[in-house]
Amino acid sequence: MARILAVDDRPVNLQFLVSLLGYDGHSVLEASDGQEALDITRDQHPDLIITDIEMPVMDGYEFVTHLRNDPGIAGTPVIFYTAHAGEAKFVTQPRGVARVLTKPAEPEMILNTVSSALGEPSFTDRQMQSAGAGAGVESAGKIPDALIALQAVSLRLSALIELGLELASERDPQRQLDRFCSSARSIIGSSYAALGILDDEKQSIRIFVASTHDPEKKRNHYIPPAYHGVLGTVLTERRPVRLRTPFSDVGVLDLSPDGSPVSSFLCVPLISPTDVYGWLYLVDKLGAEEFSADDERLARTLAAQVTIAYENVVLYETAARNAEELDKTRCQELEMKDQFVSHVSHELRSPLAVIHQFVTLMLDGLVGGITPEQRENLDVVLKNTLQLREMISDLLDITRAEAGKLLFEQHGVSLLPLFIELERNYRERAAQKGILFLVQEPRGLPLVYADPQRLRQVLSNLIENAFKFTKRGKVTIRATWDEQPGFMRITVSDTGCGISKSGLRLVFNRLYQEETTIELSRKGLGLGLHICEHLVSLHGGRIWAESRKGQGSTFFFTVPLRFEEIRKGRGI
Amino acid sequence: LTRKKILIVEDDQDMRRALNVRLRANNYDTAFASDAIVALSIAKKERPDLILLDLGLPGGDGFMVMERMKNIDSLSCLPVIVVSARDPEGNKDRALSAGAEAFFQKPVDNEKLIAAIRCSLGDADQVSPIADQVSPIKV
Repeated sequence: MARILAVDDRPVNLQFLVSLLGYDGHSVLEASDGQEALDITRDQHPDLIITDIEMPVMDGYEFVTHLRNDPGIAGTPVIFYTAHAGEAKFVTQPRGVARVLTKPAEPEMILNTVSSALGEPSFTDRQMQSAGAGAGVESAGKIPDALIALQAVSLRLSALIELGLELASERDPQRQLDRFCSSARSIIGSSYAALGILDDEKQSIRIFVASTHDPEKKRNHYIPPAYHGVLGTVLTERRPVRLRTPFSDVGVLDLSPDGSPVSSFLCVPLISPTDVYGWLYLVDKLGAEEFSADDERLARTLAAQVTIAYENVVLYETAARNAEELDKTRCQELEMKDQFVSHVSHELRSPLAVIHQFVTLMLDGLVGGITPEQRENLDVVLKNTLQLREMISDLLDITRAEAGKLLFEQHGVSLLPLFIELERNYRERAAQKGILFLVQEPRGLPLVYADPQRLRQVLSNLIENAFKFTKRGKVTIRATWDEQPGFMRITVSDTGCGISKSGLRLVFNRLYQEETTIELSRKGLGLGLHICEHLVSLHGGRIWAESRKGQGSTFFFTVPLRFEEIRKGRGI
Repeated sequence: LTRKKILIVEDDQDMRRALNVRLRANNYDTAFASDAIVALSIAKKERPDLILLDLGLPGGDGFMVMERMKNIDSLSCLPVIVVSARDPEGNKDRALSAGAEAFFQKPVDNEKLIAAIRCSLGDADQVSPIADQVSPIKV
């Protein structure tokens, strides 16, 4: 049949074309970029060229342009075999490329296109003819052979795919390379495989992994110098080396894993798009005298795989290092922010304390009598002073929380004293506002596992909010423990203005404030509920709200029960 | 009946003035110091019954004042109430273990402060006046 030049930068694609075209009786030349293809074409004059387009050094377009301008070889028919067939079609005609195949193409399609380019009957027709001629003696023997050959190729390809998947799923760089090395050894079938990756200066080996066929066999931990004998040839000339005994290069014998004589040897360079960065070598082909051209191709395919794996290693290491540094920087920034806010809140509190003192002196009548109107005005000043005080506290809390520095200590806590205290604190406020403050005392309830100060803070925050938005009706707090095993549920409900549906989702967000209630709520930083959420989640609980516009809101949060109570509850 | 004397150690002049009015209105005599060193000499001279102590002071902070007081016989048993703008976190525990009877963060709740002073001086007419935070509900 014909002599066909297959051009592709991916060894796995080349291997596929070699096997397929070989099966249809063609002899196949191989090139891995346009420049190499041009050299081979000038030298060997193939009958047909089937070429990839995207390749390093010289791509398919440039290659064909050079080809058409060289009178000696200008007439060679070309098939583009590319993943970007749509784009290729625009440029094929001017370059005299009549046929474009889209990757991946069915083998039959490729063979038919090749036949048509060579002006031969199509592969499909020939198959039908030979089938029509009955079980011809010739074809009966040939097809099973070919099938076996294809099967072998397909097995190797699937082994490659599996390896690819395995490598993709392995996160640990060292294990990834280990796995790669042992897979390379078993797919190609050798008694020993070793992989070396050069350091940044390309002088010595940075990473070395090895795999032996026989685990009983003592593995030689001797790491050869990067440029030792034949390994140096592979690195400097960037080409595979395949040898069998007797060796002209005595250096090969040093690469025996256990000092026993070496019979065959294969080494391929590890090449990135820009550089050589290591080698993969295999010693002693199993079940044969030497490594075959197929083995060499496979080794190159694998070397291309390890490029990806190796780049992953580098990326992984860089990413891990960056993450660490980023984390450190973030911690430092949070620490600085914490110190800053702590300092500022201290500085704000001092003058605030003075204002507060003088206002209370006047309100308490300690600096002379005041008129009712003056009292009313001073009350406004006092109220705002206290609000400012709360804001400063919130600001410090949220900064602490973000820096992970909120002091927090959980014990077994009874809710009863807390509820009684809250009732005492808010009763008068409720009376002044003309609303009811109902506390359903949690008698006979189990202890919760909580930080009492923080629990009080969450509840006070929720009650303050309820008071703020409720003009008439009532604010109710209660605790129940039947809803969710292992947790106490605490509820603060009001009959206030409610929260819009969209607001309900955002209400725990930092700095969120309901727009429609801005008149009522603008005094605040919008941090209260955000802090509550943080505190509740520190307890291991959950906080949420239910509300309908105009029909009041209910805030729920859960706190874990003390461990002993959980055990009792479950009857353990 | 002699009025008990309280030494106000506070570097902010306005705050000193306000506290002075407040304490005198509650029938206490007052003395003043605006830095740590002066605080110790005034305390020795004036023999107050109690010190209201700020933490951030020129010439050494409130902790230093409390530390030095321990080594001065006439002052070693003098009750101290800390009134500071500093964060209770860290400072409160430190102040209490340095010998303070209570820690109040500015701005203070005057009723609670006066109650704590009365309690400390033994002229309390009510019980359990505790600083800012009510004691934790531990079980």
